[in-house]
Amino acid sequence: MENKANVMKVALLAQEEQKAGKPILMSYSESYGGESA
Amino acid sequence: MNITAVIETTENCNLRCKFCLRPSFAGSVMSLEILEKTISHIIEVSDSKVDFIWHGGEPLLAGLNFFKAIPKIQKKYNTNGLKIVNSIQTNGTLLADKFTKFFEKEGFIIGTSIQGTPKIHDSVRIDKNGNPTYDKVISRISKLKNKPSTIIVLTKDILGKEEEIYNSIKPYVRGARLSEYFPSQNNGETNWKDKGTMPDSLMPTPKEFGESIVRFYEVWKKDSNPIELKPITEFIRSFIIGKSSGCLYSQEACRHSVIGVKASGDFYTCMRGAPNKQFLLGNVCNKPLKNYKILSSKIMDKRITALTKGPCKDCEFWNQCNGGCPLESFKVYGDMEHKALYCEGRKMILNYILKDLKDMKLK
Repeated sequence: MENKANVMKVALLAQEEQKAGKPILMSYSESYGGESA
Repeated sequence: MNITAVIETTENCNLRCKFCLRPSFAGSVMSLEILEKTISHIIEVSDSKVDFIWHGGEPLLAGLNFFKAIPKIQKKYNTNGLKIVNSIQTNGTLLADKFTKFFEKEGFIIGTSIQGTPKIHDSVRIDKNGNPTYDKVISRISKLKNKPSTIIVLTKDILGKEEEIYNSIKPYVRGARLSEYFPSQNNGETNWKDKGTMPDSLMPTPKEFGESIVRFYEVWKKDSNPIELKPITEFIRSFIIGKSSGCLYSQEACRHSVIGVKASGDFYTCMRGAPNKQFLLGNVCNKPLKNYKILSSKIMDKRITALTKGPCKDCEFWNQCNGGCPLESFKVYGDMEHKALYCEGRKMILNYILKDLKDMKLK
């Protein structure tokens, strides 16, 4: 069976963030974590 | 407003990467006077959080004393207790112990660039004399207490080697971003389209881009202990939430708060807009952020109207893609009204992820 556990984990975390009212637009440091634009 | 300031400490760099976005390596390091004015002005117009991204060129060429001044200046002006986050994007080759100790003490987030495997990295990320840099980068970042994130620029060299690349970088990083490659020095010359070619020999076609990112997705899915792999994880998040969150996939990110500051103190709506005058907000000496919201909103409104009535009309992935980076459109086509260059590839990966989410009853 194809492994989709990682997809599920990210999706569930997003659902939790949405329920908690976390802003959709992440700040740069969250979105990029020190990466370049 | 929250501000993300990408600050070019210097145009100079000790590397000469074959896909570099820099039009020039001639600039000097930002002076401490401009640094102080920049930090104080950004803090002055922010109301809750500021992300300072210390960029280049190679930012470490500014020297340790430059970086030691940053938290001192931030403390001096942050009288309202704003949340301040410092990140640095370095090629890693100059990350000596003195920098590492300082950044770790002050909580700087470190990002670097590893172009996949040693062989691919050393073929494109070379120093001024053409020497390879992979071993030096790995040696430097291996000493960090917290693993850095990395950028992988998705060039033609990557195609077909996705699993090897993922496994090669994984021991050294906490996450990676697959960055779309576009030729920034194209300057709006569109004749490449008529020739039926891509504007740069390192550039994959949109289809190749899509196929490659799908292969990365499959490798990531199989990993029992995966690293964060953007934009794939961002795409999943955007399907669940209904909107995209990051730069290159959300024009709201540009509209709201991203600015670019050159070593000279010139402020741009984004560093990708430099040095084009139409994106110049002013210089730090005349407090340019007063006009920021007006200019960035004007540019974005015009672009979104053009896209949603034109090339992106009825696209089912609008909320995930938003037509791509406005400044990519400008650099590649010479205007702001073109959709993402990799549109076909973006649709490929988005369709692929959506199918999985539907299979899992998450969509």
